[in-house]
Amino acid sequence: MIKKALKTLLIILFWLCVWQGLSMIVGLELLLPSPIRTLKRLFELAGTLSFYGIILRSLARILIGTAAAVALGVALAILTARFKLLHDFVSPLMTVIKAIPVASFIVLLLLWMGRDILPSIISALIVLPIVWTSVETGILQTDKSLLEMARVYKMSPWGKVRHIYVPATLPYFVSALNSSLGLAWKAGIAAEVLALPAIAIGKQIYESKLYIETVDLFAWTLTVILISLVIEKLIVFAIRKATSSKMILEVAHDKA
Amino acid sequence: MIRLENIVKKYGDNIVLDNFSLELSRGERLAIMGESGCGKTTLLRIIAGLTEADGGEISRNGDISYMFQEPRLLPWKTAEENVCAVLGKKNFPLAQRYLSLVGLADANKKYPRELSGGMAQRVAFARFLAFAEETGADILLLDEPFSALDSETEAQMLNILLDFAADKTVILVTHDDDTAQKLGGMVVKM
Repeated sequence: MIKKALKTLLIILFWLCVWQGLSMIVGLELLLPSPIRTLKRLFELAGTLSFYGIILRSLARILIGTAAAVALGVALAILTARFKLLHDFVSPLMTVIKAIPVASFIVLLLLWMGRDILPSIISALIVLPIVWTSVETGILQTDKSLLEMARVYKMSPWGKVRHIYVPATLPYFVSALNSSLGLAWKAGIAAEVLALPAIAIGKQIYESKLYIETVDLFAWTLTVILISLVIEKLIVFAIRKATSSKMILEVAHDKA
Repeated sequence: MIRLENIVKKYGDNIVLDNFSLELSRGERLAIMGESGCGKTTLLRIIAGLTEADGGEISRNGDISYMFQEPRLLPWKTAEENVCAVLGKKNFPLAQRYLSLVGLADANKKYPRELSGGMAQRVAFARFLAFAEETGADILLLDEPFSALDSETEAQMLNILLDFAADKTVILVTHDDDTAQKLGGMVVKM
C-alpha cells in the first residue's frame, strides 16, 4: 500500500519536473506558467471565499444534470429492457445524442434556454446514453439460470429485484458512472465557458483567456482536475458503502 | 399426485420424449436413469413446469421443491444468505439448521467462489430442503443432486434425503445405479 502510494507520488513528481522543465525552456509565464507559479496562484485563489462559491455553483449545476440523467437513464433502461418496442424507439435517439458534438449541443441549446441551466443539460446529455446503455445491458445479461432458480423457489418480484437484478446490474452501473462522470464534469465546464453563467468555473476560465491571465487559466484547470478526481473517488466509495457487499464489487471487477 | 400421459417433447427433429406416461402416488419414489441427452432433465423440468411439453397431459397435486443439476447459487451472497434468499423473512434459524445438517455449519459465511464444487452442491441441497420444509412441498424433484460429491458424502446426503422425504413423492435423476437402488422405489431406465 505504502509502496504503491510512493510510486504514484514519484510518477506525479516526474511529470511536474517535466512541466517545470518545459516552462523553463519556453521562459515565458504568459505562454506556459511553471507548476510552482500555478500552485502558488491556486493557493491564493483558495484563500478567498468567492473561490468556493464559484466551485459550489459549478458543482451544483453539473451534479443536478448528472443526477437527473442517472435517474432517467436507470428508469428508461428498466422499461426498455422489458419492452423491446420501446427499446427500438429509444435506441436511435441515444445514438444521435452520443454522436452529436458537445459544441453543437451547447450552441444550439444556448438559443433555446437560459445560460444558467445549460451546463446541467449538457452534463445530462453526456451521462444519459452511457447510463442507459450500461444498465440495460446489465439487466438483459442477468444470468437466466438464476432467474429460473428464483422462479422454482417462488421468489417474489421484489425478491428477484433485490437478490438478483440489482446485484447483477450494479457492476454495469458502477462502470457507467466511472466512465461518464469525468466526461460530464468536463463537458459541463466547457458549456460554462460558452454560456457564461454569472458565477461559474467556466466563466473564470473564459476571463483568464480574455485577459491573457494564463496562470489563472492553469490554476482553474488544475482545480477542475482535482475536483474530478475527488468526485470519482467519492462515488466509488459511496457505492461500495451502499452495497455493503464487497463480493458485488469483486464480481464487477471480474466483469471489467 | 403426479400423472403424465403421453408426453411428447421435441427439440427440432430430435424427439426426446415420445408418448411418455407415468403415475406416482403420495410417498412414492422414482429414480430415473439413462444416458446423457436421453431426456431425464427434460422430463423433470416438464413435471416442474419449467419446460412446456409439445403434447400430452400433466397433472400434479402439491407444492414442488426442485434441485438443479448445477448449484445455481447467487455469487454475491454467502452460503447462509443463499438459503435465506428463497425463504420468508427472519428465517435464518431454518437456513442455519439445514446448513448444519449438510455439514456446512462452518461455511455459512463463505461466498460461492470460496466453496468447492461439492460444498456448493450441498448449499444448494440445504436450500432445497429448507424451501421444502418452509412451504410444505410434498413433491421433491432432484436432478443429479450429488454428482459433485465423493461416495461417502453422497451416502450421507442420500440418508438425509430419505429421512426428510419419508412421506413425500420423490423423483431423482441419477447416473449412479447404487443411488437409484438406495432410494428404495421404482427405477426407470430411459
